[in-house]
Amino acid sequence: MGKAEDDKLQRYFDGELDAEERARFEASMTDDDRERLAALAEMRVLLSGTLEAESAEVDIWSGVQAQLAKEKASAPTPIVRTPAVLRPLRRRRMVAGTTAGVMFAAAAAFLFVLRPWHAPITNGCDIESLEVEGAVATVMTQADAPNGGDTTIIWTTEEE
Amino acid sequence: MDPDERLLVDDARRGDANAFRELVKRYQRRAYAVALGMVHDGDDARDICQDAFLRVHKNLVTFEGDSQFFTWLYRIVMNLCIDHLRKKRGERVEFDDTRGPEDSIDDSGIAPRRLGFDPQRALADKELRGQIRGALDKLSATHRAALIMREIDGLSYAEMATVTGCSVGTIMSRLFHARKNMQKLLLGYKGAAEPAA
Amino acid sequence: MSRVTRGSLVFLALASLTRVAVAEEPTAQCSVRIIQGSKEGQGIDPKITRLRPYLEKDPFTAWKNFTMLEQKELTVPPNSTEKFSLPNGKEASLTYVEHVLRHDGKHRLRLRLEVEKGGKKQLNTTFVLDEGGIVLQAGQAHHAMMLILAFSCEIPH
Repeated sequence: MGKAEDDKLQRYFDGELDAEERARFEASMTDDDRERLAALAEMRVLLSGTLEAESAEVDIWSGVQAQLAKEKASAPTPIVRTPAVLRPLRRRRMVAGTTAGVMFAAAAAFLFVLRPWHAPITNGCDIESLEVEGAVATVMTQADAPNGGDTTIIWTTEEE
Repeated sequence: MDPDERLLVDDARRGDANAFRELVKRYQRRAYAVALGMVHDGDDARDICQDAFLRVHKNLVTFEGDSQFFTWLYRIVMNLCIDHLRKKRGERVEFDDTRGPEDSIDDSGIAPRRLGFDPQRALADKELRGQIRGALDKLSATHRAALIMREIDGLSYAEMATVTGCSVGTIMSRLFHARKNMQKLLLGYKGAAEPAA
Repeated sequence: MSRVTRGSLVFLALASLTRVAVAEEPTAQCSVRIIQGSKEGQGIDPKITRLRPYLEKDPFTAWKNFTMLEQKELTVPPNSTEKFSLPNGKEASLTYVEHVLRHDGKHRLRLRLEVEKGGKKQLNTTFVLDEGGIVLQAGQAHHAMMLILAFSCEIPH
């Protein structure tokens, strides 16, 4: 098997061919090609299955959480010392700055309240109309979506 | 980026600790599988993943969302794995290699021969899983990375090229050689396990 | 009134105007994943790992091998239609009819999916889908296998 054929087989296996190239490859597939694809699929299942099985119970979050807590606890508190000669001037500027700060904080809080709350994503779907011709359609509901609730499946079967 | 991922990343970026925790829990298994495939040792893989997520936490404000979050996390995990391999095993990790040390002059492709393992039985068999990880460990780091990116994480050729900074042609070549060598190694294990006729 | 106070009020006023200005009908970003289901072989393409929870349950349990053939990213303005081809030679189109805001604040989209074969409409369905949620259209034949179309849309808000 030449390099071009190897490339084509690999790209087909990895879903990297466009629709036209895929159709051409499928039309000219040999039995050997099918066996090679099956061998690649088998290796994929073994490799991904092995590493996934070994990763099934892993808990990285506990270590991350502990380290973040440690970093937070050990972060130093900044100390600001104001030289005595500058204090009266700073106090006047501080009052003006504080007023502005409070107004900006109020504006930010106002905008925050108006900011859309990000509701959890669900697959809620209401079919309002369904027409088919030359086929039969069934609307199914699959329970227990990963994000909670149900998932809608519109199943069509062409009539013979 | 998927809509729910984008929401999580945005919230985590704003300092929402729950959102960050959700991101870690969502991707910790995949990140660990990648690291385990690269460095072989479970404890090292765990340390690398922890370090990677801490870096994510620190740099989330700079993540612009123009790529998938996992691609970004992936790059961090991969770079940490490469650093680890260089330090611990003194392994030469060159990302512009297209052939690893295990390659021979044999230019044949993937053999039209299945291994014949029953996947369900295989994955329940700890010894067999060990052999598969052993075979993976025998590949060069560049070939191992290519195989993991494609087979575990489903990255496209273009995404793999972005992560590694090399061309799609190089990616395809590494993938090809990685698969060929992996098949040879696994067929070799199978031959050793089967009784002589 | 001090300069600082005046500046803050101007900021507040401008911020409010900005919020009013974005309340137009937004363009939908829709993702269509075209998946091939086969009864031969085993496994789910890593590119569609996120769909595994759906593909491992009924009504898909008779199919063992799922490969993503294509992923289309459609930008659909309100009251507009985006067409795309399917690998089985049929033509599909997705129309973004309107944005629906439910009483509880949940954003939804009213969409219409049409599938044509040889210029003849085979499927025409209108549905209201949660923003970011997934709806599946399955059962179309493709060679000896089956196509599954996974739709998901979102709108900026």
